[in-house]
Amino acid sequence: MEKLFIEATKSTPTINFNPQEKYFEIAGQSRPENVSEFFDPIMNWLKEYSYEVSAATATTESPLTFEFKFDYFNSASSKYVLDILKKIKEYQTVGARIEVYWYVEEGDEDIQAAGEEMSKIVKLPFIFMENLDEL
Amino acid sequence: MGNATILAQHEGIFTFEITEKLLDVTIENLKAHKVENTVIKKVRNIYAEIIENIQKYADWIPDYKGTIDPAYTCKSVIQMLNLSTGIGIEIMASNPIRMDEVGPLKARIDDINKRSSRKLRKTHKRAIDETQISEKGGAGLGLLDVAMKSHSNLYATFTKINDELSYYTLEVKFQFKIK
Repeated sequence: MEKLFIEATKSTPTINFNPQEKYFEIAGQSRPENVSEFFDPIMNWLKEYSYEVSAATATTESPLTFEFKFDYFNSASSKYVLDILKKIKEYQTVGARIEVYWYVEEGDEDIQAAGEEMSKIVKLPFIFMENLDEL
Repeated sequence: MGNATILAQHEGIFTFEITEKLLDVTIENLKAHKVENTVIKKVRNIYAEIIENIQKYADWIPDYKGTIDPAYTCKSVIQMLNLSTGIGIEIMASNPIRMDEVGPLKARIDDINKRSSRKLRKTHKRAIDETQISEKGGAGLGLLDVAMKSHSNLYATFTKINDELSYYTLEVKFQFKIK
């Protein structure tokens, strides 16, 4: 399956999904002008990728690594972030090994709390990492 | 109470570009006052949510068939207060809403204000899992988000403009203590 790469803007995050390397990264701010227009293609890509997950990755040793490096996401984006995590949970359900890294800048209680909340909802353990990116 | 410094303000139509500009100006002004980065982020995040709300919920105004007194135009002001214990932030946002939206909105704000931080988190957890994105692109989580992040009550007033419209003003005040 083709990579998905979307360059960051001031209001949308970098999307770097590399199925060959089993590495999936979302980084930056998310407050798109049109939230559905931004996230729907990402959700479609993840849905498409789910066929590969069930066919190939479930039996291999190396995990699918998802890294969330949010500086901020607005409330409308949060719904989509949760949908992405639900999709990742589905990958795990069909047998794929999953690692979710959730990056938090020191002192950012909101991103930390959002990660904890979403981890509980989707029942996926997150590995919390410190992120020192500047504003 | 110390002196108030206006960080950003705008009156008129709120577009995505204006929202961007208001956030940029707010960040620049907070940096100029040497406010620490974690505080700047927090203020930006809360302010973004509030002005995005104006943008979403006043998008019908250009199509409104009647006239709206200019006194009831969309407005937003964010200001910083230098307090002896730290800094205070006050955000005020106003926009006309349809009269039938007043009841549900007032009820939602009253409900949010009644909840403790812990209960707000529980409500948010349930809401984020269950809500759908609206046609306007909102998830209906904005006010909950603002209350949770600011750890403060939401103050709302509704002033009748005419039989169809009411003028909704939301005020949020919060502070950061000097460490």
